Amino acid sequence: MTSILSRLCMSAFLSLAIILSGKAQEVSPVSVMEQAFKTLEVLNQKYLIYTSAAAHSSARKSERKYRDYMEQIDESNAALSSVPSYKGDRSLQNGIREYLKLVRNVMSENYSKVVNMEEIAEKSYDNMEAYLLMNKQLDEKMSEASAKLNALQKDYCVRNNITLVENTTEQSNKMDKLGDVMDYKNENYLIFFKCAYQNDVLLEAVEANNVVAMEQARTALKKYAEEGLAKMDTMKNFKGDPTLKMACKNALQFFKREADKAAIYTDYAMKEKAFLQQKKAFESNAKARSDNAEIDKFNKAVDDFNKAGKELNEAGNALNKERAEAYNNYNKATTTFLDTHVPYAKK
Amino acid sequence: MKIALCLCLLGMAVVATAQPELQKKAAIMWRVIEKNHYQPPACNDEFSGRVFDAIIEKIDPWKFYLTAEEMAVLQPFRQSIDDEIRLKSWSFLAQLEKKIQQKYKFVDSTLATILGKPMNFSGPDKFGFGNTEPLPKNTLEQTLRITRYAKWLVLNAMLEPYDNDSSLPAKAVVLKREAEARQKVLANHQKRIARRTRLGSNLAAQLGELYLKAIAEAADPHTEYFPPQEKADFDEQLNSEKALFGFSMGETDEGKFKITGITPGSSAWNSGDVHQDDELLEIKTTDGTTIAASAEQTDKLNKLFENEKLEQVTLTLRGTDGKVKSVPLQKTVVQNEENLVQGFVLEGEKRIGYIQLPSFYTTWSGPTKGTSCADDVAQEIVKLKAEKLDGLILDLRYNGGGSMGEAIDLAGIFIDAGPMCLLRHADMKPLVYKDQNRGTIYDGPLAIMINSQSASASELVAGTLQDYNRAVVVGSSSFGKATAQNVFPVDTTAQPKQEETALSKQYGYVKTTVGKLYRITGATAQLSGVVPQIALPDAFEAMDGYSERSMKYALPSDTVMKTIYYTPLSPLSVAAVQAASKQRVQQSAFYKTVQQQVNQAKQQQLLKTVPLQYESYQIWHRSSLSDDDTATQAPTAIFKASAPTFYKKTMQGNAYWTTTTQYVINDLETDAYIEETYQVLKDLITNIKKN
Repeated sequence: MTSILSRLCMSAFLSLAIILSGKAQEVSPVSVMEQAFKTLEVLNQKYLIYTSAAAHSSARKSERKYRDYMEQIDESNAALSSVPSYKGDRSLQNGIREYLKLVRNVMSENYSKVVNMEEIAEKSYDNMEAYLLMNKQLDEKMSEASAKLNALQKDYCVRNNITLVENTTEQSNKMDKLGDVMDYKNENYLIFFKCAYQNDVLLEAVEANNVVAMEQARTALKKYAEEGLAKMDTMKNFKGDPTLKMACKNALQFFKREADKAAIYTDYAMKEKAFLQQKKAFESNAKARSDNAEIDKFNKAVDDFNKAGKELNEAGNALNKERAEAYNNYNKATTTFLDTHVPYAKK
Repeated sequence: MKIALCLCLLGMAVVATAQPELQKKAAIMWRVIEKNHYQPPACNDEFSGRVFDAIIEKIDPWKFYLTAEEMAVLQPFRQSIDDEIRLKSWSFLAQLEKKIQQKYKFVDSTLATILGKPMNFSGPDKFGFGNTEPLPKNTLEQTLRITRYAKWLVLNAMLEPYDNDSSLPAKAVVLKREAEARQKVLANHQKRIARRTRLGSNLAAQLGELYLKAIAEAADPHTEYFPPQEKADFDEQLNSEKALFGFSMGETDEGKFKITGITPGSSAWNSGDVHQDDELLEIKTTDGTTIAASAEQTDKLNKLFENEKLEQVTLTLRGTDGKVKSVPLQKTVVQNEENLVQGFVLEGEKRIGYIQLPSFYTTWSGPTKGTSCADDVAQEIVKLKAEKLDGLILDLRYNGGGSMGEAIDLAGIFIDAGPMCLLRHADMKPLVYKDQNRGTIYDGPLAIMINSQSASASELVAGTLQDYNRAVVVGSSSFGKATAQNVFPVDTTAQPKQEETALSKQYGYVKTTVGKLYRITGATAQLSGVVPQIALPDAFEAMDGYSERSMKYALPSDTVMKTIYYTPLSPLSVAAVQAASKQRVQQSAFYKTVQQQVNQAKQQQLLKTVPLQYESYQIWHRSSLSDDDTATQAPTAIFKASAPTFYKKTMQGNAYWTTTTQYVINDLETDAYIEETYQVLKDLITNIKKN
């Protein structure tokens, strides 16, 4: 859920405070704008509460806060209906409603209503690429929606002679901070994700004893790990905190090592084939079975093959252990990172 | 519910009608084709004409048996075979059988009479064998045509003993062999009659099979009918635990023996020198016995191959390019777990890996995959990578295709990830086939060798790697077959993907063209083939029937409109490599000879006539022979071939492996096409390093 949360952080633009010029009226353009954006301010607060719960509290609480947030989208939508229009102009209400619709679809993971999933599938080689592309497009959609709403607000102000002055509030500060945290965490996660996905492909290939798949998955894993490590070199610590970066770097270093070490699976598959051939030849040759030199040769082949099997098991176990540690450390680091940097928020 | 019941009853009514068994087979087979074919032709008079022509061409390819007058009598059937397929009428085959039986007797006795008398080769006579050759009008013209044919056979038999000599003896010496040659031809002819008589009791069955094959072929060149036995033999060949040499052969109407199939992993396969359609000339056994593969030796050959104690033979084969070669073979049991492909290292200025793949094989045993050529090639590449290669050659010459899935897997070995090809089924949107696995097994410089015998799956691999700028393709344009086929039981009640039914065990199977393949650019290799960046002269250029575009009813070439997302690599800079190759080829005695042979053969193909006057014939005869001495490359000085270290370690002491490997090494070192590809790849590597 946390990876999705980040998208909404782009709505931090909403924390723009407004200073009005002109006198307050019963139904003035300023009051209309205030009321309309109030619906988003309430929603943003619920969002901060939800992310705070996700980062600092139990999963149960986080789930409850998520439900609150989703309900607030509907409530904000309903509240918009009671915001009066100024001289029949409902452009702000309509714009915010459109924005809320997008937020609802993204937050309820109803992505096919936001991006063209069929096109994404066609453009993508596999699920991993589709996931990355979908994330990119969702971010773009959210940015576009934010920009659109900003422009709408500016237009409204120009039309109605309102001066808009940027200001910060506690909420806007928190939203900005949260946005930075989640952007950093997401950038890091997607680098890790690419390798973790490829690692799963490699393990499936090993399970199926499919040499083509094993060898290809191995080289792809190594490539992605190296690409990721290069990105780590340019990625800065988050406000001096190296936790997440180091965890990701360590995981990538493991993936690179694993890609190299997994050559043992291919090597074993080839040795196994060669041994089975030798075994069949020996067993079907009565002359060889009564020749001491041939028997010794075959016994040596059996020993070598058994030794290769033992080495494979040892290497496999060691990799499994290292992998579990790498994943565990990365997950722990993510939790610590969010706990440290996600702003606290209360009702 | 009522509708379904009515349909069932109708279905039963068709079966219940007393139709001849063959007609039922034909009708059911046609329905299977119609249902599954990519573009089934309409079953109308035009289609009927296609089937009719195909049957007549199969029965009488040399235009001996039927005269124009007799054909006029059969002509009404040209428009009635579609009705027969639709169960409306049935009389063509009975008429044809009667006529053919009668004409066999006539031609046999005429030929025997002609061969019984001395022949004169002084007149400016000629024998025409082209497709456009008219039928003899009447029996008088027919007798003349048979006489000319007999003259050709006798001239050939007179000159044949000197085929390996550099020059012919004086005309008088050759002509002295006239009687002997005539006797030989007569004896061959009598053997052929005997063979036909042996099989002749079943002429109706033979015609029936031919009828079904002609219907299938009239849909397109790759739709094919298999009688149950043919498929059973094929399956047995794949799964046999018996020791075998690994080739199957068939006798042609002219009494020649041709290779009809090669078993992956067998000795014939490993030799890399036995190809489908090669003509078997003779067989030598280790005890010194030599048997010529001719009609009169059929019984001896059958006995020889039935002899289980026979473990080694040397085949003398004439390749489809006309070259004669000797190939030693040993009987082996082919096991699924064995690697069917072996790589080699070509060591010269660069260390180049070499892998030859004769077909895209795969076997499935239940739900699990058995052999897989992509897997085997992958393992070979891993072994070769340990040799620290500068580049790799994948040789797909003579590779007629096979499993499309294997081709995709194989191309994927060299490409990180992305689409590989498009397949369009009838009335459906094109499907994009993607590389199965991310990552590459080999990402170094790569050359793909193809020739006009590289078809289908080979073209998919060569085309895809070319489109991605991943490989330089060397050789001649490929066959041009970009269609996909599936085998269906001849049974309309078979479930989708059901391979066999009780009915198909009696009625057989039909391989049907179900889709068209497109390259990721949206273009297709259909008809045009894959065009190599580095073109080399090829003896096949001159031959008829060795390309899709020369085949009747081939599906047309078109493009597919679909946006494909793929990221090709930077284009290979091949201009300088092309120029260097062109220069080497121009200076090569080998390629000059090949080019001359191509030109000569093209002229002969154009004329399609054999001169029967002695002097003219002997020129024709000699020029139609491949000049083996000059067209064979001397061992190359630019590289030495060897097996990878992995094999040297694991196969040490295995005499069979040592002999086979040495044979292949000799072959690699004397193959001018491999030598040129090595040079091309070497130049490409140097260019890559410079840039």
